[in-house]
Amino acid sequence: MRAEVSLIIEVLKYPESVLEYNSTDWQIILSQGYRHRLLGRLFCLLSDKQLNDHIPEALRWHFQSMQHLSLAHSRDMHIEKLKIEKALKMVGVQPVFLKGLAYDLAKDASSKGRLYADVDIYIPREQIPAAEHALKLNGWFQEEMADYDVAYYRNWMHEIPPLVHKERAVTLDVHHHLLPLTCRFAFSVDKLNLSKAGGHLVLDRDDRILHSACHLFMETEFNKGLRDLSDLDLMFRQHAGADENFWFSITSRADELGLGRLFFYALRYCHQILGTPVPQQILEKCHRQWAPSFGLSVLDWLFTKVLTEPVNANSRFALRSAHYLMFIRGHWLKMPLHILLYHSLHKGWKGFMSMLQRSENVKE
Amino acid sequence: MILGTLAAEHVRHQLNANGIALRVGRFNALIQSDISQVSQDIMTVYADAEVLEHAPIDFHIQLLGSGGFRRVFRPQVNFYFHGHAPFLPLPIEQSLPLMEWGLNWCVSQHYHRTLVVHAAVVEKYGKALILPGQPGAGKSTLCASLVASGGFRLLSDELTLIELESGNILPNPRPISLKNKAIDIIRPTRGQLNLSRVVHDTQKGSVGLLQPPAQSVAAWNCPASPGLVVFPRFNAQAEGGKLQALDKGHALMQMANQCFNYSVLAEQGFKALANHLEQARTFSFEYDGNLEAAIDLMDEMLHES
Repeated sequence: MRAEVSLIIEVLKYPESVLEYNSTDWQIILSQGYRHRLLGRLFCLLSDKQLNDHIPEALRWHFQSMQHLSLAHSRDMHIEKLKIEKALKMVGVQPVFLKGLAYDLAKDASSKGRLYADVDIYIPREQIPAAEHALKLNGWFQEEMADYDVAYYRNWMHEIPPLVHKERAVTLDVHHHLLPLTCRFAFSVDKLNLSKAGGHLVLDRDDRILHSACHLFMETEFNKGLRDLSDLDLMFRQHAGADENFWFSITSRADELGLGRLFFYALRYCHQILGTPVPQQILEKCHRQWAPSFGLSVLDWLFTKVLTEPVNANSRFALRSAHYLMFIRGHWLKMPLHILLYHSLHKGWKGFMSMLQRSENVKE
Repeated sequence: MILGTLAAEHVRHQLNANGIALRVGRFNALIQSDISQVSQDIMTVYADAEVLEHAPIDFHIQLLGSGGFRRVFRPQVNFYFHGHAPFLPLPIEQSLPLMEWGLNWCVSQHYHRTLVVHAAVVEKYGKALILPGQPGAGKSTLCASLVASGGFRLLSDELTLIELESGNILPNPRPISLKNKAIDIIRPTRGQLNLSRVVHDTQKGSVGLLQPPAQSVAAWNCPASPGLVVFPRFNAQAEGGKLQALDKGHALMQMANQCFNYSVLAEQGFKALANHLEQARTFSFEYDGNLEAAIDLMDEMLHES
């Protein structure tokens, strides 16, 4: 198992390793690529180095098809982007695109072979009512949701309940902050730096990367963990290569926003797992400043587990436990204890009731 | 070597251990299962499937029983694709239908080398007859009788694969999924072909799977050129069947709607579909359930094409 885990990571680190692969190795890469949803990315990384001819002919379609799908997603997302801007223009709001679409607009290396689940935008909180109104007039609607869940979003989260477009069925997440309002790392959104990419608003380079790091290292669900880590790794490599001031700039920006701890994790695990070439003095500086005072070796074990292996019902106990502990950690970071307890009791009770209902239905 | 020649006990053991690699349709699947019904079912409907050794595997499939209290209390089956579970578990009796839906999902979600249309397709005289249709239109019934009693070759009962460059159809011959009334209609006319145990109360009602003919399975790599596209609709009043020419623009729109990956392939997909339809004749067909008449009509039409 250990050897298997490292194969896909090996390709992400050094695409040239495929030169040595035999058919068994490729079979493992294929399965891992599906599990981590990274086949399209692998195809792009190999194409960049003219190595895609080394994928065995019989299996090549899997990689190519996922790359195709990623191009189709990107095409659809750009159409969606124009529709959203048009709808919001009525009320004089200009959205800031986040995550996948932002990578694509800014031509970040993390857009390579990426699949998009939904569109994420940021709008200042005071403009939310107008924006929501305009979107609803233009075909977006809020899917039916329990009152409790609506209140959960409205009171505690950094986004409004997700909107879906009635014809195109694409989900739109409208954020008014980058982190949950109740979160331990909350900072003022007035500080965000924006920039224009192809005429559209995105976070500027450092804030974009920090946003990505915040998300991954406060995550509760890690089944796309390796993909997200690879996003960070690709952006680090790309921007460090293009700007010699990059490491200094992003480190001080992390400090300014109070996101040092999360940035430290991003550097540490990108470096440890994917071999991101982070300068030694930056690693050391971040370690001194932001490493947790105890428990780092436990976190190392947990992060390495959850970021490299997705979980399912048949996974080993250790892996399932790691994912479960990280699930709790993610929630712990998102909300203070009293809210968390209230929330878990509510969700636990609802879950229990719906399980009872489900087994009733099976009986009928 | 084909699966039917192996001993049942050996198959059961292999499925439970390292799995059995089979050519299912035109894809290579490694199937593992700890459910003994599954091995019987696979032996029934995949008897002519080739057992593969040292071949590249497209889909690693597992059908595993749920653990914990579900081992004893209303046992469930889970479908895994390369180790992750895309669907919710189902009652264990539905293992075979779940495997078939799962295998369709494997292709429709991941194979973008061809246009994938939700339609049955058969071949005779080297020409393809595509039967697109909403669920309940009778395409599976028609497809099953064309294959079982009309001497047509089964290309697929569910997924029509249209090659992008040529517009030809690539076969993907797998068991035919029969639902509800269709099961009893086909049962007496199926000749030598095995029919699986019928599973009741699935999401789609009762489901039975019909084994594809050995010749169809063996010809998995012989494409068929465009011939007919017929949109069937069941109508008890249409005595003797009513065939009407359908304009190609209309046919294209309807087929595009039935594609799984039209939006993925975009312009390429449109061109493939247009190319196929340019070489084919298109009809709508109301039939009254007289399958023999329908078979004769299709045969004649395809012969002329």
